[in-house]
Amino acid sequence: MEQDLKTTIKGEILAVKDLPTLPHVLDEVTTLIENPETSSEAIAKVIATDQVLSAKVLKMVNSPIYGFPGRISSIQHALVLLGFNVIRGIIISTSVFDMMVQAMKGLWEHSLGCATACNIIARRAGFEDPEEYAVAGLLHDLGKVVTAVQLPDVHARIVDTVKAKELTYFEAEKDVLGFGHDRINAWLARHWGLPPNIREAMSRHHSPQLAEFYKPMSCVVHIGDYLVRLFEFGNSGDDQTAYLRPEALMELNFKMSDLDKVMDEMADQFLEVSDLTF
Amino acid sequence: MKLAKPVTKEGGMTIMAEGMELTDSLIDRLRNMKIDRITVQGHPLDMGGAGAGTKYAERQERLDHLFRKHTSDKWMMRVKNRMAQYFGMKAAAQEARQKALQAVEAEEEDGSLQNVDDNNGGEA
Repeated sequence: MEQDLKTTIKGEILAVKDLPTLPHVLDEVTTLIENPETSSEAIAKVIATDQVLSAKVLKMVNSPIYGFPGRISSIQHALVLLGFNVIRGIIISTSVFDMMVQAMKGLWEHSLGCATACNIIARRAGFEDPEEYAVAGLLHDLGKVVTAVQLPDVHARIVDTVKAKELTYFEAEKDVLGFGHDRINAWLARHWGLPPNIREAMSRHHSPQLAEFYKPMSCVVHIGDYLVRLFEFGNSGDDQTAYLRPEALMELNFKMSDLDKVMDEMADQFLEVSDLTF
Repeated sequence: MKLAKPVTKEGGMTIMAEGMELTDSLIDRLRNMKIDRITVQGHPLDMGGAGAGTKYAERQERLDHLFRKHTSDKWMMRVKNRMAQYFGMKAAAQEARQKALQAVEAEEEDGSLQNVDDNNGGEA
């Protein structure tokens, strides 16, 4: 019975007719990428045909989140510096949030904050390509947005449950749906063909200790989410702190004093990203 | 509304210092200088959260509320105490800097009043 409910809701959430449409150019680019001989110039040309999208991507990649503030002047330059996975993540998040930016602008700010925190944490932990960690942070709550778009009645019930039972949004999702946005994230990430590291981080950010293949990325997003909620930067759907799993700190060899340094950087960068709206 | 970060020109030259009170004329002046982005203290736009410019003392005060569901969890209480310590330290530094800024402002004001007095004295 429970399985039936899950299948029905999964079907409704992934119903292609209503799913936030991703820009047409993303399909074209995904096809191009399949050919290993495709140049970044060719990919950039396709993205550049959508001028509004290009402007949004350039605005995002030039924010402090990705570590090159104000220094990326073209889509091709962005592709070379950040890689296709990061650009694809930015295109997906901006496209999905575009539909909801007025109603869920607090969640957008929370996601920007988490992306910022993830980049800082990944760099401090000494990981390569911290931009990919930032994109995982940017996408970590996408399931909440898509539920709100696809199932507005369910979303309203979750919001009411948060208030009535004083639950976190995640707990309220489980109360109403029987599962949380972590599972919805996994469906969406697979549906949109996101790389496995970002997919696992999106689906394991509440339980990074259970991550199978990309535990460090799941732990980075877990800590990033915790810190952004602590700073109350944006709004993730409730006003409680998230549980900080000690395993996540251990995985990154972090002590509490490492979090102090992360928070110092975060506070500084939040001032810069807080106006990154559309 | 006060500046949370100094306003700088290309090349890094500071035009307005952190903590400066923004008036209509100053905002017009920034517009004329084609500066389209500044950072202010507090949270002038309601994004549903606390805002980037929230003072550390306020963050420290919010901890009881944020951790209210974890009071029986030893680990999370340890985390909370550590965060309270961090925010407390930052709040003290923020307050000290604020006081120093106010002292400089007061000194400058006294200096300009002194100049006015001297000028008036000269005319008389």
